[in-house]
Amino acid sequence: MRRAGQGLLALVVLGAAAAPWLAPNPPDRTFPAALYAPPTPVRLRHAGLRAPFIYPQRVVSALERRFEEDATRPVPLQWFRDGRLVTVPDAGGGPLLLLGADSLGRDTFSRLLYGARTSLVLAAASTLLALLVGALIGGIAGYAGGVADETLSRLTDFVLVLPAMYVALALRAVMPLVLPPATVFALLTAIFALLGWPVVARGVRAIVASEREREYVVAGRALGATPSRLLARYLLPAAGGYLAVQATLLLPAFILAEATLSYVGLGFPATVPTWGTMLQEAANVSLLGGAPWVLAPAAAIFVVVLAVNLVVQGTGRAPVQLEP
Amino acid sequence: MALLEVRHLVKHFVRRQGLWRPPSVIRAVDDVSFAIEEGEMFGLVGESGSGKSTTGRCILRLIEPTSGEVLFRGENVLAFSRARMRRARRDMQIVFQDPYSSLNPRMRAGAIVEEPLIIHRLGSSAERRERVAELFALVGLDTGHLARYPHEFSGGQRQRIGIARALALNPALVIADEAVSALDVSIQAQVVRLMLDLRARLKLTYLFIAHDLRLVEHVCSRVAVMYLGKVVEIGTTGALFTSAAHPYTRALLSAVPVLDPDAPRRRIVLDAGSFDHAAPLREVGPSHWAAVPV
Repeated sequence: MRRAGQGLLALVVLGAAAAPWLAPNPPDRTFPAALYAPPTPVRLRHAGLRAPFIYPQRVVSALERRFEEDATRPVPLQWFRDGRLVTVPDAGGGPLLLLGADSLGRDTFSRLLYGARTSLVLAAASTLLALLVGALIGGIAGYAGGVADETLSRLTDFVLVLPAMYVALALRAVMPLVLPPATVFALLTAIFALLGWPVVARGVRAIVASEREREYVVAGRALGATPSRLLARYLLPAAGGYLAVQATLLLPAFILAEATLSYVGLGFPATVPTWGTMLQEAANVSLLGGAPWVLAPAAAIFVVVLAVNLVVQGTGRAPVQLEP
Repeated sequence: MALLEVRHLVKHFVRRQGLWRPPSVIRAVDDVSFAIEEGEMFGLVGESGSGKSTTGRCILRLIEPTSGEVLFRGENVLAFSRARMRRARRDMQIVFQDPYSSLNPRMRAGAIVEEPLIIHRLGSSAERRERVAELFALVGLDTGHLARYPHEFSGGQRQRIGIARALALNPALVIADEAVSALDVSIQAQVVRLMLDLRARLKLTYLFIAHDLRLVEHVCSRVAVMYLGKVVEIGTTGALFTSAAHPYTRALLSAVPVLDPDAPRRRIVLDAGSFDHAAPLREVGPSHWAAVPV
């Protein structure tokens, strides 16, 4: 199962990394004749077996969103053309819409790949930052005890009881509404880490506080290890399992948080493809029956969460590891 | 000059009992004094809770004592700065009772033994690896097991790793805090033999904390008996075991199991009211002191 999780995760990461090569169309290109177009089926059979091809799609009724395939004219897929893996040129009967198109006629599959880059890197960076800050603050509180512990623990509790989504909204809302995507990225990373660290810190503090009484930590002190070395080599490794579990909880939470913020218009601008901005399309309930492919980002989020869970469970770690 | 001299060592644990009740004070170590000569194997015995482990840990400042002096080669360890204390730890090491919890379960055996060398920045990584292999051989461990984790070793082997770790820095004094109490009797004998052998080879001095009197009689040259935080009797092993002067020592000795089931047994039950717990130590024989009234 662990292998399966690693495989899935590798697939998603590779897909995101190779997006410009894998995507059949540019992510922001609109095809006016393909609003809400369904996925283009890739076929192999036309008067006998032949290389993969598609039938060109044609709008029958733009109002009813009905499309028709021209089954008389097979258009072969073109491989390794214009620096892309596979594509169908417009002139030859394109576009190739593997997961259909959205309300503006943009290719969902291409946007999904490009969106993975922003969404995954943002969530991963926020998770790492939250784990780092949480482990550090929790570790210091658990190791030092006394006044330092009291102060840091109260601070942790304070941030913990803040309603996360409102704080995120408020923090984002006080900034100018229109910001360049790079600034939005940094801002969201900081906000997510700020909201994510207290959960981590509280657990790490408990583990470190119980672990520091164990004899092997006393042995470390007897050898002359400094507090920072004790934390890094003895106490925080003991919280490793807990941190791994927290990562699996934070990562999907951050992907969703990005989606939520983008959805209400406080995340990335709609022009930047992320899974969040893409899910804005899925907001229209009446539409879902006719164009379920706009839910593709939700499926992608599910796959990532599943993969992360499989990997962590496969290591055989209990959620909270107090005993070796 | 004695290698280690403990003078009037006191450790009180204060336990707060809520807002309104006065805190209670536990006198874990109450005015303990003794001296250990270079090369000696000094036994510290007593029942559970008598304060012998606390004494050992106070000497190494793993627990900060309330008051007193610990002189190591004439210098007061308790007055050392942090940096000076770190250097002093190279000369004073400890072997713990529980071979299961005293080794980091997340480090390999080789890394555990290498740890003190890294902490004190001794040698290059190649030299350190060589030294670790040397220590493994010294304590009778297979150097092929360097990459194993502690849980893959038996109790006796784990205790050997603990000893190798303590010896890595070439200490002069080793505090063996019930170092063999958790082991089987046959393994105990092996580990004790190893410790005696190492004492001869590396000129070690031991503070041997134990509750097994037969073992202490066997290995130690001098013994101190602790009861409720105080040393009630101290002397050479021979004098103390043949002519115990303090009622507590006598009761403790009568509790030692004897191999012959038909031997006449007379178990002395200690009556705590029968002696003065505050009595000072008094010479009762040649190099033999006991806290008994004249």
